Amino acid sequence: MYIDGQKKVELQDRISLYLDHQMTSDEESEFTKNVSENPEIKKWVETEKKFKTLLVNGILRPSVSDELIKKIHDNVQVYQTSSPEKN
Amino acid sequence: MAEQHIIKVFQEEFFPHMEALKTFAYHLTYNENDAEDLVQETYLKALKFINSYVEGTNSKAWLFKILKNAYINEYRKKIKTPTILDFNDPLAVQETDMIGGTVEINWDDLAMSLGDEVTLALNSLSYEFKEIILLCDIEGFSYEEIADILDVPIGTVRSRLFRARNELKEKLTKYALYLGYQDKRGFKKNE
Repeated sequence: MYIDGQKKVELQDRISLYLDHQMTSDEESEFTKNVSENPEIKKWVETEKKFKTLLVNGILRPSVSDELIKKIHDNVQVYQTSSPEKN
Repeated sequence: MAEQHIIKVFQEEFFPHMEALKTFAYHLTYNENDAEDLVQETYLKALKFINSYVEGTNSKAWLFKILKNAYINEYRKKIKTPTILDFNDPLAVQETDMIGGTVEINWDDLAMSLGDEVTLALNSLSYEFKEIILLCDIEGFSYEEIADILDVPIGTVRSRLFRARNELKEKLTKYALYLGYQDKRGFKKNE
């Protein structure tokens, strides 16, 4: 199946909407039906899904330091004790 | 909001998002200490404007919006200009290496070869592209939530996300070729 430039862009947009869970249930049903009937589109969807997984798993997620947790907790406590409403 | 609810709201609704906020802040600032300062600032502002928050609503989006605004209004000026990570030059892959300008990458295979490259590639994107990928792909916000966090129309979210992902794919594809990635058509760099 040949997909021309404009259709390719439209299809990529549909795939994004699908993988980002931004379709209505009707749109999703229609899209998944379309995907199941077209092996090329199905392959493309799988590739896009893997790319998303690569991002999610590959991104650095630094942990929150104990010091920061303590500072934030202290700030909330200080606000509580110094709140004008309480005084 | 009644004073007795404040700690409860922080504990139950705000604190669970600390790690996600730290990840977002880290990729905006490129610096662990600046990221922690920005997260702390976010919680201080949440405390200051607690009366504008409605309990039980979307606390994560509310906090991310505060963080994004704090970064743009205050931190962006304070933080020294980050080192520009030129993700293209060291890779030195020519466009002609890509047949017809496209290479089919098996992202599963590539994942096995990648370490910090995903982070480096992400950080080499423009601020607008980076933040939208972090919000959508990493944090899983809906387009509507992202539009609210960034104060832009949903159409802008969609088009920006589309361009950001394509640019990121292009950078990672070039990196794959640099690694000598061979796609299913038997094409390989330096062949």
